[in-house]
Formats: sequence, C-alpha cells, structure tokens
Amino acid sequence: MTMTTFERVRDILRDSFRPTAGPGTVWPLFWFSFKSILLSRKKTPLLLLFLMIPLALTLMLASTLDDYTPQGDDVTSAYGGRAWFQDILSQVFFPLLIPIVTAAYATAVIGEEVEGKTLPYVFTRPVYRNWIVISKSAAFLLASAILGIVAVTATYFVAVSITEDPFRHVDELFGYWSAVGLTIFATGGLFLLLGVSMKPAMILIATYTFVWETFFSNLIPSSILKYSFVWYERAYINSFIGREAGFGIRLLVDVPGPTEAAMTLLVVGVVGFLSSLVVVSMRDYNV
Amino acid sequence: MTLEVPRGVTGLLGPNGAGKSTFLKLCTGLVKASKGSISVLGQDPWNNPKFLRRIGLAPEHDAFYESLTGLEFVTMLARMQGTSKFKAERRAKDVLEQVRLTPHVNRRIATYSKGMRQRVKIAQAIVHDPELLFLDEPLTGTDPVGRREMIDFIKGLAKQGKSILVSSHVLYEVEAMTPNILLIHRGRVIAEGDIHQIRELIDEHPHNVRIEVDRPRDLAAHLVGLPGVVTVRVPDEAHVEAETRKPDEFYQRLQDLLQRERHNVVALTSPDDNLESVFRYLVK
Repeated sequence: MTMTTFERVRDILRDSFRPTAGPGTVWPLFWFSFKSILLSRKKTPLLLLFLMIPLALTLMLASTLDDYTPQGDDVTSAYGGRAWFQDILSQVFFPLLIPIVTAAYATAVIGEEVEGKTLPYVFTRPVYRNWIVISKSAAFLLASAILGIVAVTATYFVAVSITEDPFRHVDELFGYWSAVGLTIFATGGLFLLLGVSMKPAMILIATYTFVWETFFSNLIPSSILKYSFVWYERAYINSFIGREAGFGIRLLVDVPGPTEAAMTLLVVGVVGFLSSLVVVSMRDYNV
Repeated sequence: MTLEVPRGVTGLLGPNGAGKSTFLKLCTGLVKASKGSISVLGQDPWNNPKFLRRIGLAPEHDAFYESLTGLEFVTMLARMQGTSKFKAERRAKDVLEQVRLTPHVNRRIATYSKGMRQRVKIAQAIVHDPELLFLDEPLTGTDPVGRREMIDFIKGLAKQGKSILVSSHVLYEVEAMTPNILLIHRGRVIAEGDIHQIRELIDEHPHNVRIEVDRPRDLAAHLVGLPGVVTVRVPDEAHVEAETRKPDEFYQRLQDLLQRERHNVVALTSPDDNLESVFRYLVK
C-alpha cells in the first residue's frame, strides 16, 4: 500500500505533536536527565567554571573599575562596576558563554544517547518520541537556566558592589534573569534542532557563536544585526536597566521594543523546538 | 514475509551481517521500514506506545546509563511504563532477583561484569511483564556458568508462556535453548522450523575439516580410506583438508587415527562449524 505525500505529512505531523505522552510517563526520564546534568562530574563543573570567567575577570580588574564607562555609544546613567557588568553581560555572557553552555546540553539530548547507544531503552518504552524530546529538553533548559542565573547573579553582586550598593538596583536582576531565560530558550531551540539533525552540530554551534555573534554581529552595525540573538537580548534588557542604544545604531537599524525583542527570541525558540520534534519523530537513529 | 513466533523460545539465526539486529529493530519500532509495512502483534511498531507496552527488548550493545545502580536503572525504566514509584521498585527488585543480581543491585552498573550487564539488560526487558520478548545476542560475553544460567533463565521465561525471539550467530547457543529456529540471511528468512531438520539438511552437504599437523601427507593417505570422505587435499606442508559427508563418524575415526599414528595436531578447524557455511549451503 503506497502512501500519498499528504498522508505521509499528516502522519509525521501527528507523530511529532502528540498531545499526551502515551500509556507510559516521561517524568522519570526528566528527573534522571536533570539530575544527570547537575551531578555530572565532568561536563557541568567545567561549564560552570566557564560561566564564572566574567566573575574571575571582575575580581582581577576590580581596582580599575571605579571609573569604568560603558563601551560603545549606548546611553546610560550606569558607571563603574554596574556599567562593567552590563557590558560584560552583552559582550560575553549573551553572545558566548550562555549559548555555549546551552549548546553543550542541547546537542546532548539525543546525541549522547545515540553515542552511548542507550536510545533503545527509552525508545522501547510506551511513550511517544516527541515526549522523550520534550522531557529531556525541559531538563536541559532548567539546568542551563539554573547555571546561567547563578553565574549572572554572582557576577552582578561582585561587579556592582565595586562602586555602589548592589541592592540599590536589585530589581534589575529580574530583567537579567528573564533575559538569560529567553537566551537559553532561543539558543536551546536552535541548538536542539542542530543536535537532533546532524552529527557535527558542535562545529556549527562553535562557528555560529564565535564567528557570528561575537565577531560579525558586533562589527557590522547594520540590518544584519536583525539576525543576531544578541541584538534582541540587548534591546530586551535595555528596557529594564534604563539603557538605550546610541544614536549611531538607531540611524542604521530600527531598535526593537522589549516586547518585540522578547517575542522574536520566543518565536526562534519555539520554531527550533517544534522542528526538533518533527525531526525526532521521523528520523531513524543508528541505534 | 510472515513469521510466526509461537509461545516459547524461537531462535533467530544468521551469520554476522545477515540482518538479525535490523530485523529486531524493525520489530521493536526502533527503525522505520523504508519500504512496505511491518506489523507485529497486529500493530505497526513505529512510535506506537500501545504496542511497545506489550514487548520487551534486550538490545545488542553493551550500553547503559553507567552512573545508575542496577536497581535505579531497572526502576526508572519500569516507571516509564506508567507504574508508580513504589510498584516499579518492587517489580525491579523481583526481576533483578530472577536474574540473580540481588546482591549487586545497589552497585553502579559501571562496576558490573559483562555477564551481570547482560542480566540487567534482560531484567529491564521483562520488568513490565511483556508478552513478546526480543533478546539480541543475550549470551554475548557471558562465561560458561553464566551462559548456562542465562539459558536456563530464558527457558524458564518460555515455560511461563512468553513468546521469546532470541537472535544469535552461534548455532549451538540457540540449540541449547530451543529446537525452533528461523534462519535469516541477507535480510530474508530462508528456513524456519525444527533445528534438527536444518541440521539434517546441513549434513547432506559435504563437511570441510582443516587439520594443521606435523606429517600432513601421511595423514592424508590414511584419511582417504575413511568412510564418507569425498576429497582430501594437502594445500601446504603443514595442513590437510578433507571433505566428508559423515562428519560425526569422521571425527570419531579421526581421533582414533591420530592416536594410533601418533600425529602431532596443532589445530583442527572446520569452516562448516560457522553459520556462514551453513547459509552458503542453504542458499545454494
């Protein structure tokens, strides 16, 4: 019996977006994945150290940060440690550290199971495949968010306390946390899709993170910025911290408002996650 | 093709690369049929939880979540069946006891021996009491005692009324478990039924024996006179190759001959003992 293209597409979409997990449950897999990430003896301590680089840098440069002024032509009243933290957030955390940490976990969702040949154990349980990806993705998103928020918060307190009382601007922390969450969601969706689709996903991720976000998107301040995560992250966070893109940038490109920026990041994440579900539901892995 | 796996053990035999593992992956929904369709227990196995609830699979690869203990591993997979934590743990303990791992259940799987790892694999496959069980090369890596225990255990499961499909490329392993076999070669089932009928079929074809010996020409001269011997060759100054239609009698006479003539035998091999030769015969 030959299936028509319509029937094939219908079956793929039905398999990809099953509303319930099936007769089985994915909670044990979620908890196992979450605990495995947090208690990992190699990967997580290494990534946490990686996330602490800005903190270490702040401590090393503490004595020189008293009269620090923001880089670029952004308009802000922040100075000293607070300005340094805002810069390090948009120059190091958002374009480099958080995407790399998220990518390391996102690509492992199916990749590690394929590599470790453990996929047959979960794929022969009575749960739909899309829910296996959903549970493991929820685990890595939560774990990445915890690590990201811990690192950003620690760096905030150390940096801001150099010049002023960090509790004076503590409400900004909620903005930073939500920006970290949005970044993890958007990059997580993108990197999950790369991880479930191709083997050398890490190469693409490294190329994207190092070459695009940290290099080109900063060098070319034109409409190309619209294809940079950092552009939206900055636009989003600026509304929380009373900072504004400089006149030069605003001449070249429309700066999105916080809602538009957040929606853009959310849409990128949702598209990434949904596409990953489609890929996993139709793909044979070498198990 | 249509196959029937009755209650009890059915051996899925084939040389390496015959397609046994792919066949099991298709049957358990790990791989999607690229052409045609597949139906097991009347259902399509692909991404079908209702079907997956009724089957168990012990995969071929020696792969686990190494950081977990045997009990945690089996309990987690039991819980994914939709069982409560309490029931899953109790059931996991039961099956780990059945595979004789009770003293080791709280040790990390990373510290398990190969035989223990095989037993954990079987435990997770039966923890939800499936009606159809697929065991992919379950005896790989087990020592002779462990092998005997595993064979008895699998036979015990069969006595409980389960249908079990065991893949192997070693004829005598399957023979010890069941007389009922399926022969698979290049992705096709080429024979099915009683193993003794297959053996008779095999025995109709000349059986090759290669002997590495100190005086090959002397031995060759004596072999020519043995009953059932079709050809004798001396390919080099260290080997004799014989072809016989009566392998059992040949081996008996050969033993007597070697003792009587005081030959120093270095090695005795029979290419026919491996399944590839068997399949070559059958495919012919």
